[in-house]
Amino acid sequence: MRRAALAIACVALACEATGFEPEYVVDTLRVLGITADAPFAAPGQSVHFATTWADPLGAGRTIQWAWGTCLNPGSSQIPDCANALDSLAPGTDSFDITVPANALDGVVVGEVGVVFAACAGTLSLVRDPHNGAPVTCKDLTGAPVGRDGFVWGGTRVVVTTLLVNANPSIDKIFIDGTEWAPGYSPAIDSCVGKNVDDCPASAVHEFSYTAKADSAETYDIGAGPTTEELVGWFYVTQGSLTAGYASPNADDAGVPLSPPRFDIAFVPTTSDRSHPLHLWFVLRDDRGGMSIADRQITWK
Amino acid sequence: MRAIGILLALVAFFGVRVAFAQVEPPRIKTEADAHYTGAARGLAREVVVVVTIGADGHVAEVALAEPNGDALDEIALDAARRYEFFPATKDAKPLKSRIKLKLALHGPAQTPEHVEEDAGAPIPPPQTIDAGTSVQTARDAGPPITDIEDVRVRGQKTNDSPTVRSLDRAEIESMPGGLGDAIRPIESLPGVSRAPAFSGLIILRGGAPQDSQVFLDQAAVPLAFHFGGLAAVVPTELVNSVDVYPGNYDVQYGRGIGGIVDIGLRGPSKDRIHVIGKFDAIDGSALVEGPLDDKTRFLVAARRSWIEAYFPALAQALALGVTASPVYYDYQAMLERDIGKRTTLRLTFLGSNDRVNVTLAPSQSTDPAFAGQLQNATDFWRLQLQADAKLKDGTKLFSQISVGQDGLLLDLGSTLNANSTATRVQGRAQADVPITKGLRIKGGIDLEGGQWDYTLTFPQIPGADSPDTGPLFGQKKLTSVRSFGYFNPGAFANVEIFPTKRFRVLVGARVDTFGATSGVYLQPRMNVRWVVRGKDGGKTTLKGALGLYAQQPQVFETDPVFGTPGIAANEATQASFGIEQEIAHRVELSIEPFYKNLFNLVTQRPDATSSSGFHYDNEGTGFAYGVEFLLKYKPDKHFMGWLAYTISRSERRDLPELPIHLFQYDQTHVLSAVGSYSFGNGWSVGLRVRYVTGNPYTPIVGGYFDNNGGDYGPVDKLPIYSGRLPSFFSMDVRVEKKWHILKDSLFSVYIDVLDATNFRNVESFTYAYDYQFHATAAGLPILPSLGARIEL
Repeated sequence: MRRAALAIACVALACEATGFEPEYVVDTLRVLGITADAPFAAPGQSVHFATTWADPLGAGRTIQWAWGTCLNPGSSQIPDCANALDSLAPGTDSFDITVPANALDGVVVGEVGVVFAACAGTLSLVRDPHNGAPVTCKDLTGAPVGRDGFVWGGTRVVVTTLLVNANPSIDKIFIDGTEWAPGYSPAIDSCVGKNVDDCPASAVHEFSYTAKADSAETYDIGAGPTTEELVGWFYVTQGSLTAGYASPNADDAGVPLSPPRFDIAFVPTTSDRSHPLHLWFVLRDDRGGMSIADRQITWK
Repeated sequence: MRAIGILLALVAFFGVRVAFAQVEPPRIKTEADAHYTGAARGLAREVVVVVTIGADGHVAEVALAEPNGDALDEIALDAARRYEFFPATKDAKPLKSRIKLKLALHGPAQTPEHVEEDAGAPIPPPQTIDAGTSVQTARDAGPPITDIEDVRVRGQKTNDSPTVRSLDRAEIESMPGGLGDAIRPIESLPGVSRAPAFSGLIILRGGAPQDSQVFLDQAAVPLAFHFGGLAAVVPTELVNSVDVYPGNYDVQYGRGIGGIVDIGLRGPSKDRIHVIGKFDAIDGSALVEGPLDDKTRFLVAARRSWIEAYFPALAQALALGVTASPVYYDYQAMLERDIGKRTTLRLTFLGSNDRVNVTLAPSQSTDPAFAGQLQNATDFWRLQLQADAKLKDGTKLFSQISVGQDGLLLDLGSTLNANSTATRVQGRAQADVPITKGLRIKGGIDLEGGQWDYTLTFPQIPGADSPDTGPLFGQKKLTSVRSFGYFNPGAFANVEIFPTKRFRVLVGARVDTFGATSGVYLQPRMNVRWVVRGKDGGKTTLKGALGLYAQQPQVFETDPVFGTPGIAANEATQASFGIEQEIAHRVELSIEPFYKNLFNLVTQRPDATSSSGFHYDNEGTGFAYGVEFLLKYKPDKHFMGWLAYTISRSERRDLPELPIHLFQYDQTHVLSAVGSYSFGNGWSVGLRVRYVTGNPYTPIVGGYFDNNGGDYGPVDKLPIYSGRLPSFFSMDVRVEKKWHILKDSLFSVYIDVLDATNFRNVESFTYAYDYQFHATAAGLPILPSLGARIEL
């Protein structure tokens, strides 16, 4: 709720131009999404988690992983789940669980919280008191690894026998209106300009993707039929986007188009021609479902 | 029961003391209203009138103690002649006596509509009566001049609370940095904390904002400000005074464990039709008032903002990434009629409406829950009927019924939605009866009821002290659809006793029940006031108060989906004592330590079996204590000003097993210096300087990736509120020039400059998306506001 207050307050307050790197620029070790094959699961059901992650400047360094779960932690907040764990267990970039049979004991809807940590250093299964992380990540000198090589977080599986929730699906991806098939790497001009306005109009490109028509499911939790909200995220390893995510396009009357389509404009500001341009498209619904696709661009 | 026993014992004890008193001073029976003339415009001062009172209680003679030579002299004499008294007695035999009557007069300073504005308005405030304890009895040798009644001529106030800090309209309008707003200036009073910018909160004596109530003419309203503090919900032109009860208010008020802000509305003018227009960068207002016949008066007023005319362009120019169309308006209508000589009926209809549509670009928010079209609308209206009667024996009767509706619409995408309508009925009837010369009883009923209809769709509602919930997109949503009636009856009574001429004891109790809780809340309260020394060498008054207070849980806290039905009320014990010392002519110092013990506070306890992940219970405790200082120069025709300082501490413990922590609005030091000087040729200059300790905040030590929301959440450093924002400093300047353009007409132009030194006040922090870096968010920079008023 604090972010709600801050978002509204920033309308009124003189929020400084912070110069922070936008979230959509992936230039550190990042987890872009953890896709559960069953965002909603029943007791006893197996759930597989696949991680989509990137370390574009890591030069292939080894990433150590750790995972843990908590059942009905009494809070949907990731830190509360992390604090409920004795420790995480070492693992890989994927993870499997079986929902405990007692997950619905005493509750109508249960939850399995899943906590992960990814470390481009030496991962130690003891809490880090300095940053609240459930593990400690240090480099060869014993110094804490910063944001460039350490990330932790979590996800949730809703335990229920009453509702289902399938992952939404990315259908087609487009660049400048042309369908962009997997494996195809279009070439574009680079731009040395630091700001969008410093680049020529020809450097502006449009990335789009569509979701399959049934991606937004309709469900009822007692307050009438509700349709999932879909949001499309975009990530790039360099350059500028108009925003890091987009809501589905709508017609002039505000009615969302079908199938859902998400558009973002891109300018390759401060192009680093020594690295390819990598993009990720992450489609999420508002109940924990998601799907991810990626593409690459080369420089002319 | 022990409390009742103590009360009865006190009543019995002091009652006996009264019974044995043989000599009684004269007491005011009927106050008179000041009939201001045009010549009194711009004048404000105290006038001391020597009043000789006959054995029949009528005024036999009046004279000025210190003639000043201006129009207020005659106005004061005229008012004093129309006072009526209970005569002084010795062994129950009426005597001729003489007293000094001090009248605080505020002429139609900037507003011709002030002329006779208070005619028909009842009585002076409370302190008048206890000041009466200093009025000494006539002696056989003749009526001596003894002491002074401190009478302010204006609308009715409760006269039983130990501490009421009032700003009248003249003070409000000339307050530097107040932008002429009716409520904002109260932040310069002791016991009032500085609210965060654009929060619109009122924080009294270290209490939570929801603990304090806002009344318009004694009827509760849901909000004080348009748009989180932009402007009060009533225009200043309609305000007679704003009274702040920081705590320990008397039994007449209830349903809160904090303080009260009561905005007293003035009545329509009697003499002729008046028109007022006011315009500035934010809004414009118009008011028309006057007599319909010799007994009936009317007033209509309206105000509307015009920010939406330029804010979208401004936001675009500043590349704020947001477009918004904020609009507010309010309206008031009043009909007042004299029913006989001693009864006045007032029918008031007023309302307020705020709405804003915000388009927030995704580039401005990393959480999709807070991007796109956001809509917020709040409104309320009230129809109030008041009857106010003063009987010949001094009994005062007051009754009021208020009906109205509060509306709320909040639409923040699919994640946060609220649509609520509350139909409210409030009724109050009270009698204030003098039993003997040293005994007065007041009692009444205070009823509140109505109907709530709402639909709420939220993720869980975090408590005030809960950690950040992380991204809201993707969080489990809960929906509650409710329609229910409620009834909160209350009753109160108190007894005022003067065991000696200078000592007043007021004991009483209030009983409340709340529809949302079980149980009956008996809240005994008492206060004492002792005039230790009269005028010679400076009047000295000691005072103290102790009382219990109860407040029902907030609506969502008893909601079956979001909350826990059946929880009990929040409670507090409030205590204060203090001294008021007249240290020079027109200069008074008051020092008032206070302590507030909070218990049975509604807080959240984690609960995996609950749909929201927690349940509410009455496990919270806390306290607030401090000392309030006020050094005030009583206004004269040139100068008004004061120095207010509060040092305090406020802490809370959310659950018994958790450590105690600072309260989120704890402000150790709150210092305000206010001064306004009128040069006499239409020019006036004012200055306000404020220094306030920064609010506590919870530092963030890192961030985590929340896969369901696609965004990062913060990791708080515990204990919560262990950090402090930098201190706040502001120097505000106001310059005003008035011209008399026609007979009885006035035109004025003013410029109010907020934060004239352009001091950069940090209001909060902003963070990088992963909470690894932060920057500061400042409040408004230097802000000049130009305005104009015309009064016809």
